[in-house]
Amino acid sequence: MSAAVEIRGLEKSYGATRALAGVSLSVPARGVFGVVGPNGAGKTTLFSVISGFLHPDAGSVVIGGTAIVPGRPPPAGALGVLPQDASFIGELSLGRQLQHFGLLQGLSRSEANAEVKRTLALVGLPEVERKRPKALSHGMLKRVGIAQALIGNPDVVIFDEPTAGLDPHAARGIHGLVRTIAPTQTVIVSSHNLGEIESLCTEVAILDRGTLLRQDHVGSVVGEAAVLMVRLSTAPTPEQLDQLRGLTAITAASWIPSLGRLQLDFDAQATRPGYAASDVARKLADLELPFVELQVGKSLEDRFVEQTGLGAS
Amino acid sequence: MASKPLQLWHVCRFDLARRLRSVSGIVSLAVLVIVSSLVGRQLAAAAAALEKASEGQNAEAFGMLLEMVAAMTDFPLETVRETLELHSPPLVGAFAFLMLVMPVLSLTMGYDQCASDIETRHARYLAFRIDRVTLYLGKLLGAWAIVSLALSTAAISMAVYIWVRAGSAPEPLYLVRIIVTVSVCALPLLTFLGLLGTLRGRARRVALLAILSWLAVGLASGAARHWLELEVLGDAVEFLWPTNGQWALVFDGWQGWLISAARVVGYAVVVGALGLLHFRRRDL
Repeated sequence: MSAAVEIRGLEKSYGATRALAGVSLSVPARGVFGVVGPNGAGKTTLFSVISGFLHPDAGSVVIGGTAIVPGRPPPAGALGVLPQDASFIGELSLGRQLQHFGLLQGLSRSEANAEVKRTLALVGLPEVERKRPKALSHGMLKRVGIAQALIGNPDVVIFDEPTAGLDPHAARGIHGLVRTIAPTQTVIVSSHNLGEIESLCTEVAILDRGTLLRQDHVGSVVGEAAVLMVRLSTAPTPEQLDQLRGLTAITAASWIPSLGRLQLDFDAQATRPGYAASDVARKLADLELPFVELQVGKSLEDRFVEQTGLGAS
Repeated sequence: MASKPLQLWHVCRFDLARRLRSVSGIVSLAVLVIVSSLVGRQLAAAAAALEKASEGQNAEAFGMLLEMVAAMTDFPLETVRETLELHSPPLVGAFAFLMLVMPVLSLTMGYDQCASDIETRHARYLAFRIDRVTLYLGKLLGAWAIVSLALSTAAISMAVYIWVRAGSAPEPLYLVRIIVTVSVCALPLLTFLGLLGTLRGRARRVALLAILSWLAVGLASGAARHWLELEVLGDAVEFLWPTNGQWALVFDGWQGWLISAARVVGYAVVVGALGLLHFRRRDL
């Protein structure tokens, strides 16, 4: 499958601070691509360079086969962006502002008006068309920001922290929207909520201090750890841990009080994860240790902490 | 994608609508109409007195007034006299008034072209849809349109007042010349404000910097003339402020008019190009 966005050797510094240090990645067409990283990793800078807000010091960005020239917009219909912390104008209605964006993209007035209605309905806010920004909450404005990014059905949509500051109900609505558009559009999303990225994305890039640590399928990132994480309602006794260590597939067992989870390492070469999980589930039942959740591999959050080395401190 | 002229039109029109709907825009226009009407009334009242003064026993006083105007504007007495004889004196007064208020008006209505959009990151909603040259020029044209609209409103209110109250013959062509001249004279200052906007990216700082620049140029040119006794240096420094040296455009002498017009256009082109170059390169 051809890449929707191709990034090569992107570099960007703010004075002495190196925000991007030669980042190269390839975003496949269609689906949801996640970009994660700790604060200051360079996620927003990366998005800003792709979108043309910032001039890179070096490197190139290709969107839909067209190389992006800094200071010039990508081809019409190629890109939609929800920038982080961008504001709408206070003096005019949101409908008028979204219509303006549509007109700038080359839509006729009637097409632009139709797009305003369509995109506001998509984000569940058809009633705000005539309202001014000050009449809306932060969460609602974020959703209008998402609506503006979807005007004209762009091939690639970038959402920089789309659910930041949203209540769980609104965030779930955004997740649903992203899943709806993902089959026909390429969605690139960043978030500090790694559970969100894990559930939404097919592929993920992990950034740290301006460097790409890894780009892979989410399943590979979380599943390659030969480990079973079991959430128990009560802590196991040392004897119960010994019995679990006695299972053929299991090479190590330990209780992590801070997480409230039992970690069981297994030999992935000798045993398939599914079989190891079945053995463990049976043993837990025998030991009368009721489990709330059994996860094969680690969560993206655990893997992220391992990859970025944040757990070391 | 829309053609560039069409995008330019959309940006310009949107900015005009934005300013006309803002509280400061509405208040500025309302204040301007009131002040213009009051000035028009005073000029109309003065018209009759001036007419009397130019004839009979007050001719000497009228001559003194002309000399005073010539001294203030640094133009030959003959040029001043010809202009006042050729056109309705109160209308020439209205022209001079507009030239005086034009810098303040341009500062008030045109200081924020791209600065607050950079500051609030609203520019990011635009930058992936439109190239920066079109965006910058569209916003400059939007600011120019609102300032020209304000100047036109003021000029027309004064002219109507003068024609009705003073009973002088309407001079529509001269009124058009007044409006075009003051509007064109506002352009260099607007390009200067645009440059400050892209350099600083903060609207209030742009206004403050512009006022400080105005004061600094006045002080520096005065110092060059009076303390250093370097008239040429004083003139050169004075012309750093974009609306200085435009009085020739009020009078009918063609040579001075051409020099002033060239200065206005040259300043707008050079400073506009500098702003444009910086805006193309800056981070948004």
